[in-house]
Amino acid sequence: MTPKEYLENILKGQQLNKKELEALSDHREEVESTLREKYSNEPSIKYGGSKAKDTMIRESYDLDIICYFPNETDNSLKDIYDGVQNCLASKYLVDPKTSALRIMHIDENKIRTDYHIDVVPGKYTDESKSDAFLYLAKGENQRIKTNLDVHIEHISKSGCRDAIKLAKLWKTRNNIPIKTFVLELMVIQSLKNSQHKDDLEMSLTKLFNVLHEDVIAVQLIDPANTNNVVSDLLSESDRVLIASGAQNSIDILNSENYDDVTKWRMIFKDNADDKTSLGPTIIIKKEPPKQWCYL
Amino acid sequence: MVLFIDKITDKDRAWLRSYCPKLKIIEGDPLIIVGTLSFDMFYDGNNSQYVLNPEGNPQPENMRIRDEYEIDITFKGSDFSSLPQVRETGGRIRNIIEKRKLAPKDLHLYSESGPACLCSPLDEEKHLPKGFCISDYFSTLVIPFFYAQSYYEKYNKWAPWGDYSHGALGILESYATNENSKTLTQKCIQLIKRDNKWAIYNKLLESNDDLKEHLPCICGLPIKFGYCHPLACSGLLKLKNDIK
Repeated sequence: MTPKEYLENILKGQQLNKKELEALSDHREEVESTLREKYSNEPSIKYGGSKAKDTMIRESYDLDIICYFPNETDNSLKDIYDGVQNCLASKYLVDPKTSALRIMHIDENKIRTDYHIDVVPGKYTDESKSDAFLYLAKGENQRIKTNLDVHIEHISKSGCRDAIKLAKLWKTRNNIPIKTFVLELMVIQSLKNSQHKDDLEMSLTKLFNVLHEDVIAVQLIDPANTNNVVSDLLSESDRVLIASGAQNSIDILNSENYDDVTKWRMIFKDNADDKTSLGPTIIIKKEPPKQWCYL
Repeated sequence: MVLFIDKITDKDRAWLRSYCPKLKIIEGDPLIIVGTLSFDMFYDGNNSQYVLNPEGNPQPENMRIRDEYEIDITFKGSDFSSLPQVRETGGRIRNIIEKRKLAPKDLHLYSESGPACLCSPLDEEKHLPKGFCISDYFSTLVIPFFYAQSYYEKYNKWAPWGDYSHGALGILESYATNENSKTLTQKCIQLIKRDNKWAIYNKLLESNDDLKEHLPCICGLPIKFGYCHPLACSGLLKLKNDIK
């Protein structure tokens, strides 16, 4: 197997299967019908986030649903945010985020899982139904302008979709503290002048180098709103951890001790053929210790 | 406090090579183990057990965590524990503390840069009944601690087996669950003496009156002790009886 084949294989493995896609569709329908019961046909409700941008990866995905009201509505942005929140809270456990309303997923064992649905209420800025304002429940500003269509187009035109998916998988498996939107912009910026965007090995190597060298001071602007400096979402400590994560991957690539495929396996923490490296199974027939701390 | 050991055996080294291949032993005084701790642990709450490196796909799937942490273990006891001190050096836990506006103690660290509080000092011998050995230290203390950190990072709550209250209340909770022993009673008193509410505990312990569960809780909340911290209340009752 070549590194190219390896990267293409893990990419293939990140496609959602039919059952998972059906579950997403069912969840969207359920949430949409809850909102339609209250608001009828007033808002536009559609997929947002990675589903809309086609950058979803199987290993870590959420469902984003946008719920934008027409510009003519009399309700303020805050009224819209609160109204949608109350509507969802009648049926789900809702965790309000800065601009999204997060519906938490509870599995049959009453455990909160990391899969969730984010409903993003907003209001179109005009009749063209393109730009929209989102309410900001936290921070200095009360609203932010965005445009989902511009975000989708930005990714489509970039030709970096596969590199973005692999970068998201790298982030997930290496616990890199970077928001997905920031990472997407970072990938696109890194490969802006590349003539070989379909060469995944070269693209990821370039990304790691850019992350390592530039992430500390990088400034990234939202393509849908030049006033929105997306890179401000990265704290100083995040930037250090991202640079260090990228450095680890560069070190692996530069190592002389492994063949090229093994290096990529290590970068993607792919232990599929390496099960024995963590020792045989041990069953410990008691509860783990309760942790304690002195005040 | 006295360390369980200050050197590791060939058997310990073999275990580390097999289960934690990315950790390196640095000989010296103190001895240090440093590198990446990789683990794959499944918590089976239904059977009150857990599995390291499980085969197949145990259910529920979300109770299995595979993760890695950069760590540093120094073979030197601390003020509260005679066990080697573990620190997470990659900055992940510190990042969670900063981002979620927590105190280090909420994630069971003595300070932002560690060391980790792996268990109650009263439970150390319960978890290492054969004395100190690397395999038990990692499998019963270190790996569950980091599993709990990953669990918190993912689900924003402590691992499903729970944790003790901080400070003397937690010590009393662990005392309540341990079998009687004079040494443990002495150790318990020594630890509670370091709490800034020792005067209150001492008064309750020395009083000739029976301990009432409907006393206001020592934690300061206006709730009865027996309801607010029932296990700590039982621990204090047990301690009072044991020192009579």
